[in-house]
Amino acid sequence: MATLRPTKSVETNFRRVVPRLLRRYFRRGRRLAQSQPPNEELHRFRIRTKRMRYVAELYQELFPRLLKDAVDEFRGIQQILGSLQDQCMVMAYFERRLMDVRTPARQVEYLRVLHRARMRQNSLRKVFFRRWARLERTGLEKNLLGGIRK
Amino acid sequence: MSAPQPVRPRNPARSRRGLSRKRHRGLSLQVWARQVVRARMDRWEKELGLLQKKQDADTIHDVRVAGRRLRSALRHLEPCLPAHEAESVRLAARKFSRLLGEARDLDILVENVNSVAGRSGSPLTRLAQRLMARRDERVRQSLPEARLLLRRLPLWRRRLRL
Repeated sequence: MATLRPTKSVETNFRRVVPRLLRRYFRRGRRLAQSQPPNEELHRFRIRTKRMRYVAELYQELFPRLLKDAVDEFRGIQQILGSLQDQCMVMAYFERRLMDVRTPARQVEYLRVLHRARMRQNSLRKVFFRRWARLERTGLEKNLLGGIRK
Repeated sequence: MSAPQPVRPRNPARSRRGLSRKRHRGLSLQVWARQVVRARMDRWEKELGLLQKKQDADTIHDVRVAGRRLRSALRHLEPCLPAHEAESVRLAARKFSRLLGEARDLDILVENVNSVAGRSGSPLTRLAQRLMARRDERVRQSLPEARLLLRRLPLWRRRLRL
């Protein structure tokens, strides 16, 4: 990663470092969108999105017009993947508990929770891929990189 | 010839903000980094203080967000801060965030369970109650840790030269 230069100005550092982070982020997202990634990979991408968003927010006060849309998009993607991760957590919890449950009534209830979480998981995956496709269509990466180079 | 356009009065606040942004962009990264980290540390301190008074889902969320913002600033701006100190603060903040993260996970489980549990005698209702009790216990366990962090913050500020 391009390292920061503490003695140079904020603007110089921003124009050096942030484009490389953005290119890397969008390359990873594109790779994910073209495959059928498992939920663990989407979870890792969520963490990557969070970091990208926080870097963008760090500089947003100084470059508000340039970064506002990007921060909003990253937040949206992070929320979708966050909800997906929540459902994975719920499923993992109830799958473990189901192994120890003996009473049929409780088994039925737990299976209902699992079914609901699975449905939500599938739906959230679709929402993420649709959101990513829309992001690519808007040309956010190109606009951001163009704006930073100016 | 068209009528002259009315001159819109300048918004002095907006002009000041623009000038302030230009000035900040020109600052050395080191100076700006310290300003940013100081502001985020102040915010985290405020949220930790509020957590002592109230431990609902919103307050926990706010503390976690403030902690994450501080950690992200420390991670990204680490080359501008005293060696090892930034990492030490970041790890302490991460440890505390994980403690609260367990409470947040339990909130999510309870939400999912309650949305499926129907009648009051359902096994899921009893499970939701147990999960809530565990969540409250996790939050209670985090309060002494929060107080410890509040006591350490002045030392960290000095070490980071904020």
